[in-house]
Amino acid sequence: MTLTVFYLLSALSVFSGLMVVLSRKAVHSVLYLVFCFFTIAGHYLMLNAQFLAAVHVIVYAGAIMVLFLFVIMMLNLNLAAEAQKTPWIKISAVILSGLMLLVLVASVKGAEELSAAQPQNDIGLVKNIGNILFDKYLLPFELISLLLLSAMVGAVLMGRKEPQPQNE
Amino acid sequence: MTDLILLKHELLLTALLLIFILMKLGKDISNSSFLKMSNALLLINFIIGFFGNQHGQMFASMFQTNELMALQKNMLNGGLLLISLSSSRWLNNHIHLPEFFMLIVATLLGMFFMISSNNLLVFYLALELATIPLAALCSFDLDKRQSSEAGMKMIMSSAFASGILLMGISLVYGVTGTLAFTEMSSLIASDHLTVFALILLFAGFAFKLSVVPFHLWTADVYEGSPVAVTSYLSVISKGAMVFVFTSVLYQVFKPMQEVMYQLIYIGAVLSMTIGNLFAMRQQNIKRFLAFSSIAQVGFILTGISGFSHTGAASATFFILVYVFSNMAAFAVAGIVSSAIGRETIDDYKGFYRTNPFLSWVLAIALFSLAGIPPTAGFFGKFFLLSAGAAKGNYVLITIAALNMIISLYYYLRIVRAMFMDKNETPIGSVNLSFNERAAIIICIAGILISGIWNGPFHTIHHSVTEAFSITPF
Amino acid sequence: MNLTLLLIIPLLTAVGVLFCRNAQQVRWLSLAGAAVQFILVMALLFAFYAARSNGNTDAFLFSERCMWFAPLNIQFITGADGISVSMLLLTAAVVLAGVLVSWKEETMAKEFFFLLHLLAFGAYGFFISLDVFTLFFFLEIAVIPKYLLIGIWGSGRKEYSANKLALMLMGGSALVLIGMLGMYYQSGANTFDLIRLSEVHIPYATQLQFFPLLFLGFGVFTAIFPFHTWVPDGHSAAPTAGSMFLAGISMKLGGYGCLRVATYLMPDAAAYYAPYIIGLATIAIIYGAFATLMQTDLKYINAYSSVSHCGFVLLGIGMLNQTAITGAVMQMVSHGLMTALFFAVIGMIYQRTHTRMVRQMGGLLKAMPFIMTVFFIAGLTSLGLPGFSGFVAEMTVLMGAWQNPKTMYRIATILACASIVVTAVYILRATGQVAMGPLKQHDEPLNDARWYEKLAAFILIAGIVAIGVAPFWLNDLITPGAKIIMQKIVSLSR
Repeated sequence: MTLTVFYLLSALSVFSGLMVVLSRKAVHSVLYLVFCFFTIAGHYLMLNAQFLAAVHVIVYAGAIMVLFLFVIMMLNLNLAAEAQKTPWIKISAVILSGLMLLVLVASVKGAEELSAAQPQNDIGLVKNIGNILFDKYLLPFELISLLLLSAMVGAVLMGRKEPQPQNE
Repeated sequence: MTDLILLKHELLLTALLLIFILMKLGKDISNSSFLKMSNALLLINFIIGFFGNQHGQMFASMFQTNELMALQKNMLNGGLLLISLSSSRWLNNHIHLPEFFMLIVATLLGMFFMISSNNLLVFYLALELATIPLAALCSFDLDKRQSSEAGMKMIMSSAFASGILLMGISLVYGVTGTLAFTEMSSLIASDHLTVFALILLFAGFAFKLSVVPFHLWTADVYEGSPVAVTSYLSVISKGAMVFVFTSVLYQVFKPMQEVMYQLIYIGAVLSMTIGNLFAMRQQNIKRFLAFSSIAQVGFILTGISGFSHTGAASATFFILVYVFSNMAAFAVAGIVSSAIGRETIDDYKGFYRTNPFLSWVLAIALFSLAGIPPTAGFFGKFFLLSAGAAKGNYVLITIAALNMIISLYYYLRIVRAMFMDKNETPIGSVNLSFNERAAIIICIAGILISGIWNGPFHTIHHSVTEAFSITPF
Repeated sequence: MNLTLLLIIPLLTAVGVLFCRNAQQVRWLSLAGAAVQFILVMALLFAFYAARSNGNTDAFLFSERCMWFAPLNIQFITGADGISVSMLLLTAAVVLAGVLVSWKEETMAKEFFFLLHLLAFGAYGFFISLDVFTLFFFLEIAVIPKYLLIGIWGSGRKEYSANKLALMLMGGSALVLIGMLGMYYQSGANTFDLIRLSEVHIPYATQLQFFPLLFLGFGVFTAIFPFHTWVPDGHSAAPTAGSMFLAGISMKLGGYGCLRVATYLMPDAAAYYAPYIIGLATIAIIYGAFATLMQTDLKYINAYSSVSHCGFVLLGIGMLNQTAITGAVMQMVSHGLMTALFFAVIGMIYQRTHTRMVRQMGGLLKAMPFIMTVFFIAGLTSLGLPGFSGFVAEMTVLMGAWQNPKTMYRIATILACASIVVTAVYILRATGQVAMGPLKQHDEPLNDARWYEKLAAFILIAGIVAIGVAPFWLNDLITPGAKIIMQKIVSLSR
């Protein structure tokens, strides 16, 4: 049962991921991406990581992708304006990514024999995450707060209107 | 908690960050008084950094510190102070002065955590903290298009680098099942997946260090950013990355030395050669220094490739030298750029007639970068090469030595422009403020003293030996 | 006798010059500094004789050492044997003469004398170092002052020449760098200490690998054949004192390095590569002599003849026997004094006639008898007239060379002898044209030498004559040093 769901979800996420790249219209891409995020959230659920699944849906599929949609609609990018590329670039891109795939597959091939980490099954529950976040992972947590603070300063700096706006 | 003193450097910077924010939110302060206060604070921060340094671990050993790390942080602190002093002319005229200090302190804080991280997660977060505010700093000349472009390129390329790095981290986690450096090193085996993960990690580092072929963002970002930020990028940011790279390489990936050696070898040869060849053709002095800094990274990699205490010590020592030398060069470039607004090498023709002091400063800085005695750069380069030669790979040493000649050629180009070429309209005489003069004199004193006097190198070598014996790997 | 004094005095002079208020002060301070150096070196010479006659047979006297960079085992070791003392004598004489000749240098006098003293500092340090790292350090210190001296105060294609010189010399020192690092690690001794390195037997394969790097690297400084091209350009573009320093001191750094580092530490490889060295040296001698024949610019004449004369130094080293090596060192001293004198006098002529072209000059003997007499002396020394130092030195080299019975060595020796004839042709032709015949410069005020020029010439001529008339004092000085080098070659090649 679990295995069937896993394969189904995986097939769906690979399919939607491919469609993100392949669809001609930007809006379609975004929608496929949202779908892809949902399938990945499903994976998280199967790993017993409820909190992560919820955050993934809320933040990525919800907030960020909606923002994407807004931007695309505002800029009216629906008509795909693909940059012209010479055949050489395309060919070399294909070769390079093919090689990359080869390397990836080759290196992952032996991974089954590795003694992978044995995570606790209940680590993804909200309560446990909360515990660990404010206990063991206190430092990363505080770091993130600093990161957000400084990112905010930067964003305000760049986004704010100047006292003397310069019109181009 | 009594061991909060371990966090001293980081706590101080956080305090500075908060003070800057409060100062910004409080009454309107004129730029010059803000600058005075911030310089004083940075100076205090720099001085306190030398006292009460201990070694130990905190936060479930996610954070570690030792004397070497304290030393490295002090070097970066000093570098920031020098930047603030030397670019006071530009800062004084900028409307967003407080934000500059907030952002730059935030990035420095990120670098400190990066140096002290003992866990890939902390490392990654610290790296982001060190990078994201930097992108804002790159576009700090808000009315210049080039500057915005630089910020854009910076954030894009670092996002790309972060992506690669994250993939490497997740593969490493998958292979070893842990994120802690200490546990990782014993679990790493040289199977294909680990090697692949390692290459990805190396690529992530290489992006930040601008090792060829991951250097493409460097020149544009350096050229577009304000000079103060360019010098910060090329000296402090790069220095911090070198420190982290060295300690990760020497501790975590010790079992993988052979693979790493190949990567570093290729990276060093490419960086030196390509950086030098491109530097020869540059006209803009910032682009020129960007490419020369790419070449310098190649030399640093040569030293690191020795895989010895001397290698780590020589890389750290070279960063110290590099702080002084590059900072002096950028200080002159920045002063000229903000006083007269010129940045190409041809503009420096006849510079000696109008500004003899600044010309000598720039010349000495360039000689130090080229590795000419008696400047500290000579010692730095020599130690790097001799650490690299310990491996017995004389091809690498020969390429490095040849590159020293090429680099001398283009450094001499500027010296020649300043001292020998004639110019009808040379750059006018520039009056130096007290801050600028202080920064320049500190840099020059550093260049002239820190090599011949063996104290700095001995201190660094000693703390490297200590550090590698405290944390047993 | 503390050898570090020889480092401190030039450095103090150089720094002191920066604090002078006007050109007058700069001059007198420089002269005082140079004079003190000269006196110190003379004192060193006598102290050296005294120590030797007291039965002190150490290879290096006045040796002192202190650790510099302990983690890398880099030490600061000073010491002197007869070869270094004779080189120091040369340096002191040329520095003193150089300062005197540039007495009237007005443009940026401060910087000019600062760089001169920095260059002297490098040279002194080089000759007293007994640690390869320190040696290399001082070798490179001396490069950039040359670049600036030529580029700022030079004439003609000065930027091009300065660049060429700096890059080629740095190229040479890059080769030295690789060689010394290789020696450090492959010798197994992990030290740059010259004395220690001379005691361990560096593996044969290592010697073969790194000897060429070291020898060629130092060879670039002394104009070894394919890498001699910086010499003519550099010398002709440099200001007078610059040329004197370049030819008189700087080219000797290379010869000394070839001898002290390459040959001394790697005798097996020296024996192996000796035919190549001799081949290159012979080419340099012949090529330099014939190239000189084609020149019409006095500075180029002297520069190309320097290539030829320095070929004798390398020939002497390549012959690997005691007489020849002694001769090589003597040739270094002699050529240093002679060529410094030559450049000084060319500078004096140029200042008055504003030309260096032989064809545009004539009849100067009547207009400035003193300068022309000095010019004759320099020329006669160059062509090897008995009574002057050139004869003694070249004769010793050739005598040493003749001791080697192999056919190729014989041919090289004969060719080198033949070059002296060519030298005679160009020297006599040039001096004849310049000094004799009708006076061609009518509108220039041709006054004779001033006191400082006379003093400079006297110092150098005194050296030349002292060696030429009574060579034994120099011979006695050098021979023990050469003997030590030879001992290694003889004992190891058997």
